[in-house]
This record gives sequence, structure tokens and C-alpha cells, in this order.
Amino acid sequence: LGVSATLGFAGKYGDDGAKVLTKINRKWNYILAKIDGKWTKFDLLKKGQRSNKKPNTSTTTKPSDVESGLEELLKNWGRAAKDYMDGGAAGG
Amino acid sequence: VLLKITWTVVLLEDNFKTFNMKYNIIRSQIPDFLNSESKEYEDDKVFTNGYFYLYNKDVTYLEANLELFKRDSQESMTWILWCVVDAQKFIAFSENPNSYHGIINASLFSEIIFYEGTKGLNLVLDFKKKDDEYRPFIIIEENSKHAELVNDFSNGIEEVKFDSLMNIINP
Repeated sequence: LGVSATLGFAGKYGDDGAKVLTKINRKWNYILAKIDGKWTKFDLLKKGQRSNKKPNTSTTTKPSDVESGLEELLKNWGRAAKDYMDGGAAGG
Repeated sequence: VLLKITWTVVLLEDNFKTFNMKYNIIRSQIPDFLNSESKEYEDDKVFTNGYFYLYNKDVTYLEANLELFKRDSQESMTWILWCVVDAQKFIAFSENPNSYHGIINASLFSEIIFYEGTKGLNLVLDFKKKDDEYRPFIIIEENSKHAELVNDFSNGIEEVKFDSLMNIINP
């Protein structure tokens, strides 16, 4: 793993007790899990680090609708994707 | 001066609160073939606007939140996962999301750590609920093939299991 002392054994989880072995890097805040024999890295975050806001469930739109701002954004995404599919350059 | 002191105290309190909070979000890494810093990345195959990735003009990759609650509690853990949607279906959806009631079928590209055998699982992305970076939330349907995940999504994670998962990521 090559990161030395900052890695500490944190625990293991799984029905056979060994399928997922996790290691925590306290300094860099990630978790390494051995999945199907391969070490995979996952970042760890706290809710407060991402946002203090609760997930947006707007009350100004119908419950079956996405909020208008996101609707516009999605339409822009669709247009951009379509332009690319029709022959535009990669890279956004 | 008083205002400055008050502001400093508020700032310190916020930092202290964040410092004391537990990790409860696990974010999967971007797949190598979508990561421009990776050797597996091929520029001519990837289109992105920073929110979604179109690969090979064939499939769309995007991140979504899977939030699982502790049973009978407001506490939750969130996995930020990579999902796959057929490109044409994604374009059709994005052109008029409300005609799809804001939801689109997808499959899971990432593994959900602590839930084995979830890669490729069919699920639903709900754009009516999103985080501040416009990631939709995942719905695990009752007929999903992963019974453990269906149970934990529908009924909440049992307290003992939830606490044990939290202890693993907060040693």
C-alpha cells in the first residue's frame, strides 16, 4: 500500500469475516477495501463537508416534478450530449 | 471589534462541530477510463460537462447518492456511487425530465462497499431529490435482486449493523 504509518487496521466486515478488509488512512480520509482481491479506494466525507443544506425537495413544484432550475440544467445536459452525439468534439 | 470576536467564535464553533462529526459519506472513485489523469483515459471517447460523462457515444456515467437510514432514526450513511444509463435514454430523459416524473432507470457501476454483489444492480435515479452538486438520489425498488439492500433501504439498517458500519469508517 506504500503509505506507511498513517494506515491503521480498522476492522473487517462480511459474512465470512474476510471478504472486505478495510484500512483507514486517518490523515487523508479514505478507506481501502479489498473487493474481489483488488484494493479499491473510497473517499470519506462528513455531511458538513459536503453541504449543510438538506437534500432539496422543493415545495414550489409538483411532487412528481424536478425543480425548475434543475429541469433547465438537465435540458442543457441533454442538448450538450446530443450535440456531441451528432458529431461534436469531446471534452465538454 | 465585538463583531469580529463574535464572528471568530462562530467560525471556531463551526470548525469544532465539523471536526467532531463522524464520517458518514463514502464516495467511490471516478472510473479510470473517465479520469483524464489516468493512463486508461482516451480523450476521443469521453465527453463531459462536469456533471455527467458520455462514453463512446454509447453510455452515460453519473454519480448518485444512496442514502440508507438507521432503523427508526434520522441518522444515515450515504454512498456516492457511479451509475450507468444508456446514452439515448439519458438524452431523452434530460430533454423533458418531468414527462418521466424526474426518474430514470440505471444500473450500478460502483461496488457498494459493505454490500457484496451490487455491481450491475438495476436501480432508479430520482432527480426530484438531489444534493447541492446536482447528484440525484438512488431508489432501490422492492423487486431488486439484492434482498439485503432492499430491506435496508425500505426498513432502515438495523441499529447493531449500522453502528458497526459507522465504527469501521470512524475507528
